[in-house]
Amino acid sequence: MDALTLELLNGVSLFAILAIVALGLGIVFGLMGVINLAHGEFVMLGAYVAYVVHTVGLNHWLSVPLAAVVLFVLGVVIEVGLIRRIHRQPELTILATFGLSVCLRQIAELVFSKDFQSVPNPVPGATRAFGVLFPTYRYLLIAIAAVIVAATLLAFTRSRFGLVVRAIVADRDLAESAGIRTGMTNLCAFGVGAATAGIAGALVAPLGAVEPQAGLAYLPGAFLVVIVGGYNRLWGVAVGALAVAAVQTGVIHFYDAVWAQIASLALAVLVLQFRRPTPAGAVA
Amino acid sequence: MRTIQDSRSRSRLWFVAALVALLALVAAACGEDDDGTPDAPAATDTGAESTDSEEAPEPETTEAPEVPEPDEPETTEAPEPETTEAPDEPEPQEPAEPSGEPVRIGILFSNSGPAGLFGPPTSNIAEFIEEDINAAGGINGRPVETYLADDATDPAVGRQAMEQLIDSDNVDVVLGTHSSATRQAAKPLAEDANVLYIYAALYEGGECSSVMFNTGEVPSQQLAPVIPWMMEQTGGQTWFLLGNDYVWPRRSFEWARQYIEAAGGEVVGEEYVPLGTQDFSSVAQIIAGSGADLIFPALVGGDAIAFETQAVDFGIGQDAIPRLANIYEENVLGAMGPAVTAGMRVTLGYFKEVDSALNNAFVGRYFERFGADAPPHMTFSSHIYDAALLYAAAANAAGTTDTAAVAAAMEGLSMTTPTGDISITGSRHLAQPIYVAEIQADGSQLIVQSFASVEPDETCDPA
Repeated sequence: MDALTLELLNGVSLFAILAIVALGLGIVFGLMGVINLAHGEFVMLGAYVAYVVHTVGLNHWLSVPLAAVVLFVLGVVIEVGLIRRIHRQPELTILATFGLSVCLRQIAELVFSKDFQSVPNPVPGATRAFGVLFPTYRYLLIAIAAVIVAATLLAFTRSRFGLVVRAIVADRDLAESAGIRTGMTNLCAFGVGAATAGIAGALVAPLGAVEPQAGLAYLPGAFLVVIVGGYNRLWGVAVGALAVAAVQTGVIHFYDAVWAQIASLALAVLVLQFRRPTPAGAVA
Repeated sequence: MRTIQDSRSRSRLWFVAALVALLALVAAACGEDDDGTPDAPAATDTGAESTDSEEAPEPETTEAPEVPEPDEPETTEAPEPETTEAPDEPEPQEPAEPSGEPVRIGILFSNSGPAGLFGPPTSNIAEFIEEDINAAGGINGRPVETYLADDATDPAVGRQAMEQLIDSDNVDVVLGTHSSATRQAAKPLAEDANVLYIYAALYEGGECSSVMFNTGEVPSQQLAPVIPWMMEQTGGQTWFLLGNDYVWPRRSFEWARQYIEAAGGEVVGEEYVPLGTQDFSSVAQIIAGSGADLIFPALVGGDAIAFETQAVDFGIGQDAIPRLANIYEENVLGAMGPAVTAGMRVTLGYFKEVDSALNNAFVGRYFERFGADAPPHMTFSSHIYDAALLYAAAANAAGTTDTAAVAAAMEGLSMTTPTGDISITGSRHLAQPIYVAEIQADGSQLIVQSFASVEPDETCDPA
């Protein structure tokens, strides 16, 4: 019983991590259709924000809003300087964002060196709940990720901004002729996508290594989640993260971690095989 | 005006493209790579060049219009006072000023990509290799020059770098410290060109080729004496083996299982995780449930850091279940922090803390030259230094740089270096000291046990 509870909590915490990491990609790739291969580097930079916050002696939690601001600004700069010019050509966005990811890694290496860094856990230890001990930080991570993912989903479904985004996703040309400033909306959406990636980076920083290459490990997982969850609808990120987390945790529990990785990739292939085409514009 | 149909098929196309990109990334992230270093699609910095002095890299194949030789004695004639007393003596050659056409020593190493952080100490040591061998009279009276080539932690790039060293730089020998995947990709080039190739990184063992010597630690050396010692020290009997999923951890665990059972212990769990694993919650639960007394983690880079930092919060940190590690090095341990690492034991063929007059002088000179915060000299750079001295001694003994003659002179060669007493075995590996360091509360490494001249359990008889 306790083992099952623990495994459930493991699954939920993995779900939270996957969802928060994939959220930005869900916006940028899923909604805007920009295949952003630099998404992992946005997460990596968010982790470095947490590292800097730690180095100057500030509270870790401050790094969450700070990473959002820093990455939002960076996202806006990248959108204006790069994405805006090519976003209607998927081949070009693949090449350009791949190049961008290499640049961001090298810049991080120049600024912070190749060395592994880390951010100490702000709340070390475990909390007893549901009859089991589970790391306190993971409880907080689950809560914060839930709030941010939910808030983002609401913003994209209930607000006027969300309505505009959905109109653009449904038909960009029609939206433009209806007087919607698609350029400004793209700018905001890309900025918000980058900001959530930054938040993800700051949140996961205490769980592992902070290093220039760290983003490479996050990118495949994020794409997996978005593909499994379905593009064109942001809540697909939550569905995808849930599915991948369940498969991962279950397979690790019964087999091992290597099969878990194979199983989650197989899941993506299966989903792509059997998914009925989503009617364009069926956002959220 | 696009129709719905249009946008749908277009989205389809994007999807396929994304999936291809994703699979390529995953394949790259969990593919090849066989030794103590993680891999991943590397930031390609294909560079193969740049010796420590700027004049060296000459792209052209024919070496004729070389810059006049006399300019590398610049290194010789600015001798650190300690060169005389500290290092080497590969051969008691009267230190006559070396002259003539230089002997070219190529160094194939990882200076970018995931294992790139091991690069800087190696390029620092290349400077000492030139200085020290030249100060001792060079090789057969000729000065030596080093040529560095970066494999970017990528076997394909490594192959190109090897090609560059052999075809453009015309090296007489290649010293390598990089992944096994790069070794497998680069080895055929050395064999075809009949260039001596000394692979100096710790690896899984089993390499055997007529142009190769392997001077890094193999699992049988790191584990045979240390596993029984560890069980005696801690009283632990049952082990959990946790490694990244590739050849080096798997081979290490085959050896480990053998030594554990021989010492009366038991392996109660063996798990592998893909390279780049970030969440260890489920694995932590498996370990906690296994009842193991000891953990042998063969995890590399970021995976090691993620596992150890998460393990503490899951109640299976070092204080609960002691670790014996065979790759955790200073950089990784530093990132985990002393709160996580204090008490861990690491088994390797070299630590900069090795306490001998030779090593203390060498390490002192290293930090004096490259600064107190220089990337620390460690087992990879130390083995490259030793490999260069072994090569110089063998070439001096053979009186030539001919590959077959030097290879014949290599066998049985012994010497004392900052690493300790080393000798080339009949299996073309290196009998060498093995040290166990214990991480202290302040994060420093203290050598608590050493085993002299540990023989590798390898066989090799190249035809």
